[in-house]
Amino acid sequence: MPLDRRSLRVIAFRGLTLTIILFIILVLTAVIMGATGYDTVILNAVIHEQVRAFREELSKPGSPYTPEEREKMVREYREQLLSVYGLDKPWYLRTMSLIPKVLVLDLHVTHDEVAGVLGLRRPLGAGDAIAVALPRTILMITLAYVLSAIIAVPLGPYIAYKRGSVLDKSVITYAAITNAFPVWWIAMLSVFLFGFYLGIAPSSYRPIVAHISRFSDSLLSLNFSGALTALRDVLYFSYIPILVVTFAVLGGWLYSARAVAIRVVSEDYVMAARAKGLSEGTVVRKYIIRVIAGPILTFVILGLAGSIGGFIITETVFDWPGMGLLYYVSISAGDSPMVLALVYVTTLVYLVARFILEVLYVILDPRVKL
Amino acid sequence: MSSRRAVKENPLIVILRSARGLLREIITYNMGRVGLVILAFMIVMSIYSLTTLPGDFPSKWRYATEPPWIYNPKMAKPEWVRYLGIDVSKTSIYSNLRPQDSRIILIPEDIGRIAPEYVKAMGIKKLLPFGYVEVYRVNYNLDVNDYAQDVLVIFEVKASENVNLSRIKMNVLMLLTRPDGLVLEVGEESFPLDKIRLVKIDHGAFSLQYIDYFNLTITLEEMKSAYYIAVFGEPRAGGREFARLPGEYQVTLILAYTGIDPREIAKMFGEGSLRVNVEIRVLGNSYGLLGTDNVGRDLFQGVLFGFPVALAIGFLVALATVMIGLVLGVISGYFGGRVDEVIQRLVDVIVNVPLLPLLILVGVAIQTRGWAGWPAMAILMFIIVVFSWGGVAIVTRSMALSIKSEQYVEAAKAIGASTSRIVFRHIIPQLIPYTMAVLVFSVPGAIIAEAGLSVLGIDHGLPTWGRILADAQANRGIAYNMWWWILPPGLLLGFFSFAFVALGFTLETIVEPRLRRR
Repeated sequence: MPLDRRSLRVIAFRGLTLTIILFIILVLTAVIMGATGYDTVILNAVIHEQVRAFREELSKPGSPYTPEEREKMVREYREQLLSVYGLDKPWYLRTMSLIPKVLVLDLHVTHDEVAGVLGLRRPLGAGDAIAVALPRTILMITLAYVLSAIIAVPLGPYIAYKRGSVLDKSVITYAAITNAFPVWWIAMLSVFLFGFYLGIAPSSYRPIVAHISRFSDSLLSLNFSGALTALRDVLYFSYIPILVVTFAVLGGWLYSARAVAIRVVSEDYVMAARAKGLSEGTVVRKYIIRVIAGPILTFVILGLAGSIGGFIITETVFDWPGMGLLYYVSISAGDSPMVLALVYVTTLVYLVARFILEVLYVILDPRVKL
Repeated sequence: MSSRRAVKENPLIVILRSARGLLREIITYNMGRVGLVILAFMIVMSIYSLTTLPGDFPSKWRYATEPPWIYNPKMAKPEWVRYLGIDVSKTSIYSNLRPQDSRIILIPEDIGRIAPEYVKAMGIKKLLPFGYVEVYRVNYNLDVNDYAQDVLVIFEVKASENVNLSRIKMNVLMLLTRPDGLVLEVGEESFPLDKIRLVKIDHGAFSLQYIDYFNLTITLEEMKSAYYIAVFGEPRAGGREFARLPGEYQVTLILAYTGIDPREIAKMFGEGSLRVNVEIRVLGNSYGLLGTDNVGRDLFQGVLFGFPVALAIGFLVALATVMIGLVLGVISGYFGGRVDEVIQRLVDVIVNVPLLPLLILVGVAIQTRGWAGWPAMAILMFIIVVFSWGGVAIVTRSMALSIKSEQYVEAAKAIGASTSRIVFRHIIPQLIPYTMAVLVFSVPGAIIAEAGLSVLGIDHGLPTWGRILADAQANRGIAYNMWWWILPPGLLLGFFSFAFVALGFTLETIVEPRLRRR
C-alpha cells in the first residue's frame, strides 16, 4: 500500500518524538547519576582501595625507594586513577561526555566486578558485554514471554467469548494471584522448593554460563553428541526459571487479551452481525478476531521488546547472569558507562518496537491518518 | 432558591452515604468480599502493631546482635509446628524467679545441704561457692526427640544508691541434671554486680568432666564444635556421634555473692535495698508465632511492623500518583493547545523511563551517602510518584476531552460558568469512579517496588516485609532451609497486593458497566 504524504509526515513526526524521548531519557539518567554524586562516592572508594594496595606494594621490606619517592609515586598513581575514572572533571563533563559515545556504544566496562558477573575479564566493550548477557536473558525471559503469548493469544479471547464460565472465573483468579505476588518472590520460593527441599533443580543458576558456552562450542565444532548433553544441562539449569517467569507473566497476558476481546464481543456491531443471521464462525472470524488482532499484537510486541531488559530482581534471586543482573551489578558498582549503555540499548529496542507498531497503525488503520 | 439551600446536605454525609452504597455493591461480588476481608485484617493488624511495638523498633531491629534478639534461639521454627507432630524442642522462659534456698555458707561442705547436685557434679574439693549463696532451680521437659540450643541466664540488678555494686562480686555456677542422672557443670562465671553479663552454656566448663565420664576418645577441640549436642545428647562411638536424649532436665543455678561481709549482703536482700532479678531461658529450636531468623530476631515482630508501613506507604504513594495524574490529565485535556503539548511530551518521557533501574540508582546513591530510615524511604517513594502518574494522565486526558464536548458542559459555559466551576463540578466528579479504581489498583505498587529494591540489597533501614526477605536472600545458604523466613513476608506481600487487585477488579466492574456479566 503506497503511503501518502500525510502518512509519511505522521510517521516522521512520531519517529522524531521517539528519538527526542530516547535522548531525554539518556540525559536524565546521566544527570541523576552525576548530580546525586553516587558514582563519585563509589569511585572514590575504589580509588582509595587501589591506592592503598599500591602503597603497601611499595612499602614492602626491601623496596628500593625513599619515602619521598614513594609518596611522589603514590600521588602520581592517584592522579592517574582519577583521570582514568574521570574524577578530575566535574560530573556534568564526565557524564555528559558519555552520551555521544553511548549512541554508537563506544563505551567500556570500567569495573572488574561487572565483567566478572558475566564470567569475562576487562577490557570489555559495553556492546560485547551486552552481546554476552542478552542471549541468557532471551533464554529465560523472552522465551517465557513467547510461551505466554502462545498460550494467551488464543486462550484470552476464547475465555472472553465464554464469559462467566468456570474457566473464565479461574483464569481471572489466577491473573489476580500472579498479579499480586512479585515474580522474584515466586523465584525465591521455587529455589527453596525445587532447589533445596525437593532437590530436583539447581539451587544456584550461575553455572548455566559454562553449559551455554559448552553448547555453542560443541555446536560450532559439529560435535552433535556433545551439544546434546550440553543442551540437556542447559535445560536442567533453565526449566525452573522459564516456568516461573511464564507462570508469573501468563496471568497478566491472559487478562489483557481477555479485556481487549470483551470490549469487542459486547459491541453493537457484533450483535448486529449475529442478528443478520451470520454464522457464529463468521462473526468470530470477521467481526471479532480481525478487530482484536491489532491491540493484542501491540502488547505482545511491546512485551517481547521490554523483556530483553531482563528482570533485574528475578535474575538476581536466581543468580542468573543475564541483562538484569548485569544492570544491577553495573549500578551497584558505580559503572556509569555500562549503566548508560544498558539504559540506551533497552530503551532503544522498546522505542523502536513502538515506532514499528505506529508505522503499522498508520498503514493498516485509515482512521489514524489525521 | 432558599428551598434548594435547605435540601443541600453536609458534603461529608453525602460522601459517607455514597461510600456505604459502594461498600454494599462491592460486597455483592466474590472478589470484592475477599478483598474487603483481607483489607480489614490488614487494618486490624496495623492497629495491633502500632499499639504493641515500641517506637524505636526499627533501630532495635537494625542492631541484630544486641538484646532482645541475643536472648532468643537462632533459626528457631515457629512454635506451633510442634502441634503438627514435628519433633522440635520448645523454648521455655522462666522469669521472676525466687531462690529456692539461700543461706550464708562459710565451710564448703555446707553447699551439699542446699544443693546436693553440686556435690554430685564436682565433689566438695573446690572452694566455691561460699559467702551468701542462693540456689535457683527450674525444670525443662525435653519432650521430643530433639536437642535444645542453649541455656541462658539473664540478670537484672536493682539497688538503692548507697549500695556500692562494684564491691559485690557474683559467682555464678550453672548445673544441669540430665534425664540419665548425670549432673554437668555447664557454666561458671564471676563478675562484679555493676558489670553483669549474660551467662550461657560454656563448653570449657564441662568438656573434661564429660569426656571423663563417658570415656570418650575425642579431643576438647572436637567437643567445642558441637557442645549443645553433647549437653543434650548421649555420645556414641567414643564421641564421634551423638544420640538425642529427651526427658526431664533440671537447671540449677547457684549464685554466691562475695566481696563484702555475707551478713551485710543478706541484710541488703532482706530489706530490699539490693535486688537481683533472675531469668533463665532454655532455648529450644522453636520460638514464638513465626520463629526467628539467623540472629534470633523474632520474625513475628518483624512481620508485624510491616503492616502499617505497607498500608501507609501504599496509600500515600497511590494517592499522590493518582492525584497528580488526574490534575495534569484534566488540565491537558480541557485546556489543550500548548499546555497539552508540554504535558503530553512529559508523559511520553516518564512512561518510557526505565523506573526500576532509576530507583536502584537512587537507592544506591542514598546508601552510599549513609542515609537510612524514613528519609531514605521518602526519597524512594518520591521517585516512584514522579515517574508513575503518566498512565493516569493519559486516560483522564482522553476522558476530559470527551466530557468537554458534552452538551451540558457547553450549556454551563454558555450561562457563564467559570472554568474552575466546570472543571470541579462537571469534569472531575465524572472521573472519580475511574480514578478510585486506579487508586485501589496502584496501592500495592509502592510496597512491592520497595520490597524488590530491598531484595537487591538497597537498605533503607526499616524492617519492612521486603527487608526481611532481603535478609533471607543475603543469607541464602541457610535461609533457603527456613521456610518460616521466606514464606510469611512474601505471602503477606501477596495477600496485601491481592486484596487491592481484587478490590480494583470489583470497582472496575462497577464503574465500567461493559465489563459486567450479562
